[in-house]
Amino acid sequence: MRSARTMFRRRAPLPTPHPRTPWRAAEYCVIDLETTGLNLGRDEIVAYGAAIVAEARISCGRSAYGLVRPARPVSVAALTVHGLRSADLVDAPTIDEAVDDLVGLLTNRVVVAHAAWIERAFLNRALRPRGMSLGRAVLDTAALLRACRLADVSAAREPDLETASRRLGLPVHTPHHALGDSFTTAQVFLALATRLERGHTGSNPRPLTLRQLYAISRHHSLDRRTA
Amino acid sequence: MKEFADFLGGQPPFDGLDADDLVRLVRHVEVEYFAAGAVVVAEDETRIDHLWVVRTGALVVLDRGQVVDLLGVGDMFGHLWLLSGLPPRLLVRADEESLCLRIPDPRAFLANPERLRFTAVEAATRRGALADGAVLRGDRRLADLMRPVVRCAELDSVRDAADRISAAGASCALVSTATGLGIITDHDFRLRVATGRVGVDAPAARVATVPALTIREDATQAAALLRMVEHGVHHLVVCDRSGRPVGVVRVVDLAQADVRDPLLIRSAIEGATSIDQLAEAARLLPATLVELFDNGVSAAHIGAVHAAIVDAVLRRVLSLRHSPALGAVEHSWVLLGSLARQEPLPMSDIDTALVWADPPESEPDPAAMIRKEAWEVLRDLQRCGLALCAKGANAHSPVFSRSRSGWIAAARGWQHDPTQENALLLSAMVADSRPLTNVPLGRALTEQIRTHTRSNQFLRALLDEALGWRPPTGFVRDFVVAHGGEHRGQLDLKSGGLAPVVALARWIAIVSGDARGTTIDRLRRGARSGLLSQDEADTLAGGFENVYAMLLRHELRAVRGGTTPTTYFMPRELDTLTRRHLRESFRAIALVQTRVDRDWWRRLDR
Repeated sequence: MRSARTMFRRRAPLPTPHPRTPWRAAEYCVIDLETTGLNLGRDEIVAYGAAIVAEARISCGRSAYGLVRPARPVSVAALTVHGLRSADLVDAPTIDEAVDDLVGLLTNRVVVAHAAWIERAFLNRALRPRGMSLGRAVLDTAALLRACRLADVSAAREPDLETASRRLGLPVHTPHHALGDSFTTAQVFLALATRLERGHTGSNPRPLTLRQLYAISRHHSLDRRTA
Repeated sequence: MKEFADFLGGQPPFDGLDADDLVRLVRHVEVEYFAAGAVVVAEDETRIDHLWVVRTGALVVLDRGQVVDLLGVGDMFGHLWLLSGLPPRLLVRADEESLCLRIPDPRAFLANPERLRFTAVEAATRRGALADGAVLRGDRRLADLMRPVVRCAELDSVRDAADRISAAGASCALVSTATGLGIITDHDFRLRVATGRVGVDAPAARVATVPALTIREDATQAAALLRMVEHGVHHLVVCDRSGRPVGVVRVVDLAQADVRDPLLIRSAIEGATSIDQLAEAARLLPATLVELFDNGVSAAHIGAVHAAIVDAVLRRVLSLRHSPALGAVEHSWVLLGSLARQEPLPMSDIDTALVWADPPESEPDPAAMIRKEAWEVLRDLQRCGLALCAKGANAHSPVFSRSRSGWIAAARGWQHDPTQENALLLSAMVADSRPLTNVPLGRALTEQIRTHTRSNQFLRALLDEALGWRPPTGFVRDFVVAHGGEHRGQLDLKSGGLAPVVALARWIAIVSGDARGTTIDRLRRGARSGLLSQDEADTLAGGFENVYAMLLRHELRAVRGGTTPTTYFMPRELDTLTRRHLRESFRAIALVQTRVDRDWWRRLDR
């Protein structure tokens, strides 16, 4: 990881909202990816779904979904999860062709994902040929769940999105579909940020800012604790 | 997003949308999360431009700090205010952590907004906001339906007029006479020329009906229908704003069944030469009402047509029946109750009263003979299928048949001492009166209303009586309904929804000294005279129209199904939207009641 990080540092991070922005004033791109497998170094993106949050509302009309044709075949393990066969992807653009769409979705927004280190790794690999990266401004709903004590803090695994969503009493959208999962993640994010805002404003008259959310997310992320 | 499509598409008002519109709908949804206690709609919001549908959790609705409703999963807030454009003046707060779907006015972006099942919102439909692309058949503009005018001069011969009419392919001509605009129809030719009563070389004006009945060109089809039924004519002259004739509408131009049938009944009633024939004609009434309803004629117009037909039946009975004692004295038949207000329900009783001119002191009191003959008239009405008042408001009863001075003395007595038995009830009943024959004499019932001898004690007592009708409010998630008896678990929409508004409007009629008109008319007058604010009048009128339309539909459905209609509803039989809409209406009505109760005194001085 360390070598990867030094490598990314040289790439221009995508522009993000100012860290002092109150969380309700910022725009977010809540993203979920389906891939050919889980090898962060070799596997590729086959689908992405993005839910856009503005003014603390998920706007259904602005969400995006796209398929991507990978260079390598979809692994059997991944296929059983998302059901996308290579044959379904023959007409889809390659990642080089799709990356502009992704850049458009991510620019000037805070990136949110569940178990964000996976999305972050895949997205950074996609952005690398353009000389761009996500930077550090990423929020992880898995970490925020731990921060809200809604996930087992001692577990070595990330909490399941569907389970967490149900536990919060929220509806679950089509699971293991990039758009469905990005929506479920966006709802979970709104619920968690609202809770954190409550705990925060209890003692502080100033609104919860992005900087504070980043800090909470980083503090409870799995890779930090295992590091 | 399939989740939202399934969720929204499975419930009113969205369950009638096609797949494309459902996609459009979901594209406009915004998902918002509220912490417990967070404000969803602030109390001082002046205008609502979104609907909120609860997806998870619960919202609580507060009226000045008091909980008036709890909205659970699937419940919607805002549609009543969105459609009416009125400020809600309610605070909506999340009762627990809640996920809500926020939807901008769906009428703005759907391809087929008429498929939105805002079923209970007929009142708002008429306001035009919803009417884009959803024009009711009964409400087409006359300007689109009328035919060109055929004119002839006063001194043209009947033959020339007839030639001109047939050359134009028309069925009537207008003729200007010294006494006003006249109309000659083919009916007049059949009646007067074909029978030889008027020669073909006589001036056309001799067969004309003067003045011709007119209607403004911006009136609706339904209004024209009502005017035709009221007057028993088949042609109306359509005039522009300055009163200039610009066209003619005939029965057949208006529409099909919805227009022909009430007139059919009307002419059958008029043509009846015996009570049996009349009874046969009157039997068409329920089917006619059903048909009007099926043709999209508004509830208010159906009520008015119904009242006009009952008027015609009573008039015909009076002309068919020979009543020597009644014939010997000047008298007036007066309708009471919902027929007087011209807003009956299909199963409404016919409530009547009688007033006669005071006979000279020297003559014996004719009351007993008059009441006996009145009873015969009422029996004929019964034979025509009209139910007499079960509570005794019938013209043969000594309480409801009096001489002019008898009525005035009684009314004065009730005003003077509102605590005497039935004083308030009778005052209220008399306030809903509409003389059918000998109108000036019939006004004796309400004359006393206009006098200034009424005390504030009397008005306060009447108000208490009026406010005694409370809509069912304060319920949470379901209705609070009658607990025992035959109607256990059911909601009486008539006493709970209609009566509170009718009673308050009647109080306004009494206070303002003007008893004429429908409940809606009275509310409008109340707003003009400052007894109500415009918002209050709109709220009450909206609530009344809504419940009246529901009751009408309910009763007509029973008529069609051949079952006995009631004004009771099982709450679970109402769809969620209707239930929700009723709750909002009831809440709004109760709010106005509370306000009037609190500062009625100040309102009197406005």
